[in-house]
Amino acid sequence: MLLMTTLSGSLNKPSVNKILIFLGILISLIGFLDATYLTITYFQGVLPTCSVVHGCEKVLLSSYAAIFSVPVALFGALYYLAIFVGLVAFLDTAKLNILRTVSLGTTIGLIASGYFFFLQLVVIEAWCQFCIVSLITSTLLFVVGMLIYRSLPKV
Amino acid sequence: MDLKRVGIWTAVIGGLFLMVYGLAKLGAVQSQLPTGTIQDPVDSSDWVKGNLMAKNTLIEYGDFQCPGCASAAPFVNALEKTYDNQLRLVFRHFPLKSIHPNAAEAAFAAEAAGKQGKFWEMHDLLYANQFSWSGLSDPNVLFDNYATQLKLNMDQFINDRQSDVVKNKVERDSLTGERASVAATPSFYLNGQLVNYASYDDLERIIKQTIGQ
Repeated sequence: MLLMTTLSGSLNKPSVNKILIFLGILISLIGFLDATYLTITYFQGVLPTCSVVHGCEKVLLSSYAAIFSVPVALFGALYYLAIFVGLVAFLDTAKLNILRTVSLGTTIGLIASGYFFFLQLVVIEAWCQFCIVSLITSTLLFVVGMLIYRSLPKV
Repeated sequence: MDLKRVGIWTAVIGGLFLMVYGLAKLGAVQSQLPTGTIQDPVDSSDWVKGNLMAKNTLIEYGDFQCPGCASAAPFVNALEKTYDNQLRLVFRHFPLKSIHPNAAEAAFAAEAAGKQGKFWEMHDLLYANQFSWSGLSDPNVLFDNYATQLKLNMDQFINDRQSDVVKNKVERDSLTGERASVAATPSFYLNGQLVNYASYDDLERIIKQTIGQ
């Protein structure tokens, strides 16, 4: 409620579609939980093992799943968290610069997901359902981000 | 700062924390290992070290290209020294060909070295140098190099690693692993039962406990 009040209270500022903002929050939250789950399972493998099971394990055990022992899922979780916090911060402060940065920032997620899509399709030749969820959330976030960006006044 | 804003941000951060905590719990439940039992007893074709007559047997199913197995190798070697008289250590191949393209070739090289009495020496070299050969399109160049280091007869080594006898031995090991429900490498079976452990300290504690009984 406070957030909406803040938005509607800022009369001098152009209106931003609140549905898009809440949609962005919801999608980034799903993406965050998805990537966090992958990160947790990566670190919970207290001892590294190589699994027999195909599909997700094949992707997650590939050399592309981590950079210097840091799982790429962790970068994904931080990305979604940044988008989530940014959108909530905009609702709190109504600062358009935050929204501008966040909406442009969704491009990073789209590029990263596109790269991982390519890896799974061409290089690893296996699919991980958690990575597919992330591909969907990052694409939707990008669409929402661009719609928000278009509605913002030019600097 | 107004209390309402503090409350909202606290709720947002608290909610995120709770969700991450829930996921951590869910992950812990799913990462529990299955059970499995050895169906094929140790025989003369197996690679054995330690006390061959010991009452307790630890069978490892390993894949030379698996980083987890490479990190377990020093632990297994330490077990041999610590429980020299009380433990029989067995290695069986379980190359995960779908994710490790060079694992089978590495297993053939180890078997071929074994034909000249240097299985464990090749086993150690393969794990110690895993990083060097894992990504190669033809790892045999390096395997031949290791064979030279071990002063093996090279003609025999090359013939053996390409032979059906060696390939069948690796296949036989893999089949025994499938019958024992190996789900990941390394998998350790103590006196025929799959050991579920959280750390090497944990595994050693289980071994020590069993030996002491």
